Amino acid sequence: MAQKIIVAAGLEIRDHQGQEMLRFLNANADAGQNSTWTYPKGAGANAKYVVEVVYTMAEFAKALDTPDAYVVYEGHSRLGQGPAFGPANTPHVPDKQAFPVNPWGVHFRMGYDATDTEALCDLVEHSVAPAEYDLTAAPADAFLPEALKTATDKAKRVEAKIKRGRMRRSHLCPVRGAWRTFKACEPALDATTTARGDAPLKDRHFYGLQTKLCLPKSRPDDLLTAVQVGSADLDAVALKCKVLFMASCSSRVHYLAPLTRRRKAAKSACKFYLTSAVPLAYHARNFIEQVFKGVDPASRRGSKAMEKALNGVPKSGRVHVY
Amino acid sequence: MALDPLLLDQVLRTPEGRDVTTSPIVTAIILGDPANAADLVPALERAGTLEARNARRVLCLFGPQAAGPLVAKLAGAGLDARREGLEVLWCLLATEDQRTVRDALVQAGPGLEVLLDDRRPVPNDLPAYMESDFLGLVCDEAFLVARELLDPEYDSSLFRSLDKEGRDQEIARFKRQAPGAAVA
Repeated sequence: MAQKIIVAAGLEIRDHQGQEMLRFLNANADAGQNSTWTYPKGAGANAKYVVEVVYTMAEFAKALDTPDAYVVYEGHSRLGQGPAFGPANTPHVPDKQAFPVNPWGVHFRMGYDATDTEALCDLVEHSVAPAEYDLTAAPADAFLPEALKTATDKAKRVEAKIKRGRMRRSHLCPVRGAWRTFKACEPALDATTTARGDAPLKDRHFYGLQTKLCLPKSRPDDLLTAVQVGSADLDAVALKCKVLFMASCSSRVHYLAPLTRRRKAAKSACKFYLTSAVPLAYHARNFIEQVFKGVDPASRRGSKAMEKALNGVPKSGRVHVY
Repeated sequence: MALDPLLLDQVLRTPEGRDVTTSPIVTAIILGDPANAADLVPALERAGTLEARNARRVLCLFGPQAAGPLVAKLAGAGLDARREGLEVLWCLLATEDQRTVRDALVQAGPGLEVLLDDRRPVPNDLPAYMESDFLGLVCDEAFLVARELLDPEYDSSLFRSLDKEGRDQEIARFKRQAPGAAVA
């Protein structure tokens, strides 16, 4: 039986890396129906590999439960909010009529309880308003990345000072780590309205600043806020696939712990390929090319060869197998 | 002994359509001595070129013994080579066991110290559509590479969330405890 490779091409990245993958497939494999390709060329029913390219969240979920499949997600990590999908050439702020539901705000939930995200470079940039995660109310056993655990501790310490009367809520704006409102500290941002007509920072809190390259040099600092994520979608699959390659920004940082937890709970043997940084390489294309060459990404020896090959190209984002 | 520059040049000019990793010059000569990794570093300076891409692919074929010569050469190299070279270091060691990683980083210690002191920003040539969740200094990248190699479970989110001062403190702590002075 042919080995199945399923590539889930995410929002926006499908228009860039995804196009290179399609060029590779069209040049090296036989195109079939419904975004499928078979390899080697001319093998027909005796093909060794079947590649399927999918573009929706439901298809990604199905892929994760396809027994023995090699699954690649090539898309945005959305700063830990989860894979996002949408039509080709979706703009950064989609028009409300064409997109009643903003695809930038719909994620496959496979993360920590919450993630830190950027007020300007994410929420305003994409006109999305995910549910806020109140750092001061986080339970002690919350499943959080270290960055948010630390942010939670700081925010709670400030909150305790307020409760003890040692600090006034009206004086929170310059206090590092305080969970303060845009309304009080950044009123202009609180009122920001996007081209879609949303006000994504309205009544929202932030806790820190971080220099971001997406912002002008005159105001390089973005404001960090925390938003709810969870792993509801991941918990609904049994990870029957043999390999999952999350070819997205810093997927190791955002998804290693949730994926490992799910793998254990589901008694899955799925091997995870994750990145430690921003990958600009054509990872899905390169992964498929290696498989076509006979590299088995699920075996011990094959995964080593695959890892070396994926890291052998510039801006790999440091891939590793977990 | 340094590689013949003409031979090296021939390999690095291997056209895109041909697999440089299967070249007999690579398999029979270059990979024969881990010290040869150092001779490929200058090509990494020419970011975005065929030579740089081929150099990286060949470098990633080496084993962990090449980490020392690679990092020693990176210590005297430019910004682009350092950025690429750190990813190559990852490539050389990430598939190895912890003891091998530790030994290799001890060998690479003096050069790694230089990279951990490099406070220049990593060149940002990412296209606008990439959501760059962290883009730090060369020293930050060197720290993350070494730290994650030493502990594959390390949660780097906290380090990435720190300001420059906080990251400097983490790096200083790491230098006291880890590679060279550190790893040993």
